Amino acid sequence: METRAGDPLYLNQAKLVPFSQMVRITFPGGYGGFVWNRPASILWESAEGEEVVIPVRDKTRRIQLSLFGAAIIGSLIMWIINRSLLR
Amino acid sequence: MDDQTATSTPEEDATRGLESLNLIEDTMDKFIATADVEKVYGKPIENGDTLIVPTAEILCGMGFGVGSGSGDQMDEEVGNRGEGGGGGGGGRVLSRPVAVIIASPEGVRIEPVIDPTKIALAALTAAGFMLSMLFRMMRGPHNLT
Repeated sequence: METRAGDPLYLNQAKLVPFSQMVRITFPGGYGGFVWNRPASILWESAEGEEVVIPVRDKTRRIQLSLFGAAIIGSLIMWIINRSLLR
Repeated sequence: MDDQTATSTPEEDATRGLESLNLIEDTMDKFIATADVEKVYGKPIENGDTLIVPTAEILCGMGFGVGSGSGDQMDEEVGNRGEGGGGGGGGRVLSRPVAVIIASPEGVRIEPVIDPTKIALAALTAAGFMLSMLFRMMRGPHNLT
């Protein structure tokens, strides 16, 4: 995993620097590969010189993972309850 | 019947091979370019004092292969020998909006982009998994004897 900084953007006196996270897998011999690139965070530098790092969160992905996690945990709980009832 | 066969000279073969290699190189360069930060952060949109930057997740995969082979010399007098080569490849680029950065003189904020279709599909998959587990449990243990 690699974090890269992009070209800064300017708004009046403020500066915004975007960062991205990238995973690159190349097949042996260079016959193709796989790249996953996503926004990671932004650095906001205000006109007064104050710096803030704001992460870019992927809410859709979080909700998806939460639902899958809930399904697995729910199934485990059901299995435990079922097993204790059978005994 | 014309007995001339469609054969190519070694120079023509070499040129074709070089063209194929250049094509592969160009494709690989384009593939590597998807890793740039500029691909994730879109072109900023200025609206008065406000700057809007769209962001997206990019997933790119590709693969290709080349091969060549030649047959054994069947007849030593004629020198008949078969040769061949080929190649192929494929790839896919997927892009999905993640969030929108809104910068103004007051500050900066990030508004997430939520995809209801993806969430609905995930919810249906999760519910289906849980229901199938529930039905399996309700049927009781399998009697294998």
